[in-house]
Amino acid sequence: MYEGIVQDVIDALGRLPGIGPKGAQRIAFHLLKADPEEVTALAEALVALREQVRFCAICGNVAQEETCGICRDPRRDPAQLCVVEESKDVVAIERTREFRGRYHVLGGAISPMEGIGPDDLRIRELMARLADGVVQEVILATDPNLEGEATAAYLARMIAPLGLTVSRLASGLPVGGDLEFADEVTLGRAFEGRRRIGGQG
Amino acid sequence: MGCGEDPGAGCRPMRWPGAQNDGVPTYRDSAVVLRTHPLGEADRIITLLTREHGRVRAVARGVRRTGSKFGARLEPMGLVDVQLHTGRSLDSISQAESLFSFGADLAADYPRWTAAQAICETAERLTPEEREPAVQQFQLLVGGLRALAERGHAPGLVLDAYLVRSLAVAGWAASFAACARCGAPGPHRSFSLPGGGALCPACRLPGSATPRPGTLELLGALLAGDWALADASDDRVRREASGLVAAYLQWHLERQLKSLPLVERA
Repeated sequence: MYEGIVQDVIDALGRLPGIGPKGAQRIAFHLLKADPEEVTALAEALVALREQVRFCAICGNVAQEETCGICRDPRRDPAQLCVVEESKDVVAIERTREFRGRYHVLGGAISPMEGIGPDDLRIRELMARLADGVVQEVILATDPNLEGEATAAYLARMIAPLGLTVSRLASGLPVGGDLEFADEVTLGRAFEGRRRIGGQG
Repeated sequence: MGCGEDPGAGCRPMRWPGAQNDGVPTYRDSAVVLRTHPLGEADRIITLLTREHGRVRAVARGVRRTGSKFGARLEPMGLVDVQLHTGRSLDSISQAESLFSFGADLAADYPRWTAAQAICETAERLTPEEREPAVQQFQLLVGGLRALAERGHAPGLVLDAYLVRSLAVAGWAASFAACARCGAPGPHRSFSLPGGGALCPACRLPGSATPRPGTLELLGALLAGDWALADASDDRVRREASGLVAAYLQWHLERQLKSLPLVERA
């Protein structure tokens, strides 16, 4: 146990996800030795994070204004809507440069064992967005785990009466990997989602 | 999910008594993954109900990375053959082979998936002590998940059958025919949570419910595995039976299951 402020910083850092007591101690002493300007910049960034960052009124992504940059961008295709669990998924998909539509961030996945049901996510807001007839295709990009699959199944069932095209991101083999090392579940999914090649349609 | 059969019998792992690996004690068991929690950057804590070692919490390292061979095998509701290293606080999973994955089928059918979640949460709550063998609970869990995946019966009926049977295995069997206090043969009209089930007019406790005539009969059928009677029941009786089972479960667990209110009953 250290005295006063040092222990307070270690305790505060130790409450962050993925940081244990040793890591918290190492970061605290790194901050003590670091350039004071860097530490001040970090502190100011943390305060600004809490005070200035909010959630986009349209898609639920993190934003510094009423709406996020993607929702304000007129070059984005409003007919395609990609539904993701978290804001970090938006960043992951943006890195691919493959998608030029817009997003809807649910804020998580349905998880009954954690007490999270459909009403705890931004599903009502999604259905309101789909009701205006602008969106033609909904891409369900929830995580490829059971909760993500169940959330996608629930959404597909909700969206079906609207007559929109609903698609789900493919699951399968990682690029650059060896087939023999693939687990049976992933390999099974890859077979399910196989596609024609060689101009057969 | 018939009575007396062993749904997990085909997945008994090879015995590996006292196996040692460079001085680290290991053991191998078949298990159902009940739930997972993220740990650190890429690890998970996996809660398993094993056949021979009861409920075990173990660390699976690196499973959240896309290249992990474990990740897909250790998803909830998967029946796996696992090898674990014994640790000081938590064991760690060193190998996992998938025996059957109920989850993939169930996740595509929302009502069945929510029922399966309630089954897994109940199994976790009814095995409060880690490493205390719970073979019957394991068999019931595998049977319940298999019955849901096979789609032979309504998911709400499978869930309620699992709940009444798992409560019975845990020592809280309710009586749905004979009087729970004096044993007078039924059927009886009253049902009491603190009384332990159906009560005759002489034993009736204040606050007892008076369910519809077919409700206690349905619950008795679910406990006994009389699926012909259960499948023929009507929706109103099923709803009332589900309410009684949920209340009875909450009475004994002294807390409501998080997943039960989110179960979608058709």
